Amino acid sequence: MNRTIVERQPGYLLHSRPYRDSSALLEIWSRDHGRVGLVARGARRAKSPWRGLLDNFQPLSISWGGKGELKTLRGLESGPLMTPPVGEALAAAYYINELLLRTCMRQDPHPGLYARYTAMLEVLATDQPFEPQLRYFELQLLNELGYGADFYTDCHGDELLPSGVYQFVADQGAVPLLPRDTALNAGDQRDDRTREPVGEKVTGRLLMALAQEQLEDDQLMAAKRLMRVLLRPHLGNRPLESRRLWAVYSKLGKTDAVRH
Amino acid sequence: MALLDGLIRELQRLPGVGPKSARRMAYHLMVHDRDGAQQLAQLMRQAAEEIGHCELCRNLTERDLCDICASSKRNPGQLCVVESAADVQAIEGATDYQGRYFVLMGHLSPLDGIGPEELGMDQLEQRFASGEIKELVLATNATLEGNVTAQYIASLAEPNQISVTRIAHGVPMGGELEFVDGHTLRAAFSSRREFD
Repeated sequence: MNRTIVERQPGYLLHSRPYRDSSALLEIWSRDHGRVGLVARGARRAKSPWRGLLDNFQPLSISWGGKGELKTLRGLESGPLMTPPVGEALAAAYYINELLLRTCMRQDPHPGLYARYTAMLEVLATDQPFEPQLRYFELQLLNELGYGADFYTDCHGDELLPSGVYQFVADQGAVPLLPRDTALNAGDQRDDRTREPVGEKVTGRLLMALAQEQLEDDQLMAAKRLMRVLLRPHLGNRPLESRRLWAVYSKLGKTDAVRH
Repeated sequence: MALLDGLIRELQRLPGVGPKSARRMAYHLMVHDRDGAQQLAQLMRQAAEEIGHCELCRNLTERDLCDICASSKRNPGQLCVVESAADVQAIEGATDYQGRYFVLMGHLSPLDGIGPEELGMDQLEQRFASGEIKELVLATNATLEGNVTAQYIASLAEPNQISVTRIAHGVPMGGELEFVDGHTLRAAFSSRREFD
């Protein structure tokens, strides 16, 4: 494999874990090289110049080199400092890191998704609602991985009807449901077609709102469920750890007690 | 030489020991210090069997309570929360802190699946509820995870009228500002205090 040298690449730390005595194994998310695995030699030593910089969700400028899949960290500089997300936003930030770790191959560049990641962290650092952005991130992730679904036409190539109810099937996309199938779960016989059904059954209106990035508040729950179904096949067998701990982080709220 | 090879391999479990040092250690013990090897083996077995966690603070000890928790000289109203047993030693060696400790043995780490249960937070919560603790010192590491862990523990202490402090983060003693990294300098600047 070719020896590569990459200088001052913008990126973020997705995850780090201790390696040997004083080193760390890093997974970074870079603009032009996607996810990269790096060995940071001596990063945990008392005098390592990198010690204060190895935090998640901070823009970094990263240099590395080496051959093989695992590269060697050669330089690390801090970018403009960002306020780290807190509470639920922190949980969401860990969640997108875990999504990238689980789904993206190493050295597979996704500049579009990188830009989305950066924008996402900016939203998460503020008090703005982030749920819609999270859905668009998931959708773009699927598209970039090549598993994007058609959100404008159904499986027969017909244009989606906003009020139509569809079932999302992997590899097929939106399959229109006959009127008798649109009666949702037992005891859930609602006339109101504009309310979102549960699970993989969705209205055309929801699919289009997702694709156009115009989700309304009352569509968020249905969008979340749909994306969960679409992402599931790509996440492997283990449940997402960040999801398990969501409740813990949500509890922390937006206090400033320990933040700096 | 299966035994010797096995010994060399097992010695490499130790931090900082690679194949070369492991070989030196093995030869030393077998050639020059058989008695030492016996003692080491015996003590290692005993330690592995008998050392457990202190019932109060989770630190390593072969008794029910560690020396610090058992000592009548320590102030039971002060509790310092740290991430590792090594942190206890560091604070003991460097400060005149006279309270007790609670050792988490890690920090909250969502992507590694380490949550409150793994860190004994339920135990900590019970101690807060008992009313014995008046002051809580959060001495987790100055990393994002360490801060989040501290924040979580502070939220557990909140309902119990406990005064909560976090150890200061900033410019190291003898440090020149120019060479301090941006994160640290920002923390030091934002938590500046009255000059006295």
